[in-house]
Amino acid sequence: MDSAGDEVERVARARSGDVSAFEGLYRDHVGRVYGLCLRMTGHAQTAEDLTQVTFVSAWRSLPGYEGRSRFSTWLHRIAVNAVLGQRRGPGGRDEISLTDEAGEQMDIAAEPEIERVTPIDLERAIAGLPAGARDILVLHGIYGYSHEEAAGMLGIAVGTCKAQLHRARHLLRVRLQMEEGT
Amino acid sequence: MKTIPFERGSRDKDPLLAQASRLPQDVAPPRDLWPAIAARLSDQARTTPRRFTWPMALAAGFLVASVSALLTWGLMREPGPVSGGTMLAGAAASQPMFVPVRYGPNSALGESHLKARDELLVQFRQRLDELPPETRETVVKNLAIIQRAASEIDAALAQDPASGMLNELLLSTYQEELQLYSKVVTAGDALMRRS
Repeated sequence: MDSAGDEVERVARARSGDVSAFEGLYRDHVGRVYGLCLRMTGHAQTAEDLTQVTFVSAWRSLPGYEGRSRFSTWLHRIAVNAVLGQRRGPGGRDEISLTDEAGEQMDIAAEPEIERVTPIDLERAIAGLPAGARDILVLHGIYGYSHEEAAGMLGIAVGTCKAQLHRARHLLRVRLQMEEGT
Repeated sequence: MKTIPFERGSRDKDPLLAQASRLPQDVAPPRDLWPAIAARLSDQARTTPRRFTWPMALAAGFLVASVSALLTWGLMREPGPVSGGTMLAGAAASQPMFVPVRYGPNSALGESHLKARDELLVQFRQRLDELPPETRETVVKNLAIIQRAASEIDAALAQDPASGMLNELLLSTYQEELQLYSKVVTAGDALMRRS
């Protein structure tokens, strides 16, 4: 990826209508946007559609982007909104909302360790999580957003975000232990 | 409610989260999406930042929330639908035009949303013609309120497409539109059975 200075310049050029500059931004960011959409939806075709929606929406709205947040954060927020909108739509997967069952208190130390977890096993286990827990795990666990940032993106309370992460961790362990046992 | 025991640095403290943090953030799509995106860019009117749309969008959203209750009351108090035979041609012609809500280019409602609406619209149009003039007028006025809200929210989304709240407002406006159609269809069916 280019340096931050190059990105600022590209954003400025894209804001003024330079499509080639916007293509550069697309090339830099498409992997993360697609990865985010894929992990949140679990469907490759849906993730492709939502990635396109995200970049088209970003292009249309770039003149209003004032650089208060990082460009990648701004773009990811658009992607998360696209995912949530798709999920709530008639053709969505009708998954449980973000406020489903709050996480239960669990003692991390008491939970048995999981051995030999491959990235593929982990990705599969994440994909099998309920939507609310998966969203938080993806945004916080993989993409490194703080609870406050993730909660803001998802439109939920920070407490709910923490509870869902706790639940996600527990469910991940259960799933991975089950796989270990088979 | 029980408290959650960890917060800062949870990615480091929990081995599973630490492993998740090492997963690649970038995932290459199976094909190059740029040509399809580029083809859509030329069709897109780019938005000039417009100030003070947020409060207007919020106000419009709150107004939409009041539509449903008023309409329910209006439909319930009607004595019954006017049958096709009793509706005078002249009166029908003078009725306000019904136009489905138009969502702007920044309102990322998927095809599935619009398809669901179109299906409901078929039944709604039939029932609308059977409604007494005053009820029909109320319905059309309520739709105009929803249209104003949709337009304001679309303008605000142009300014802030990353806003979760605006997207929530957009979806609730869309759902309000669908509920309005659904209420007319349901009330029409009930009144037809009664008459």
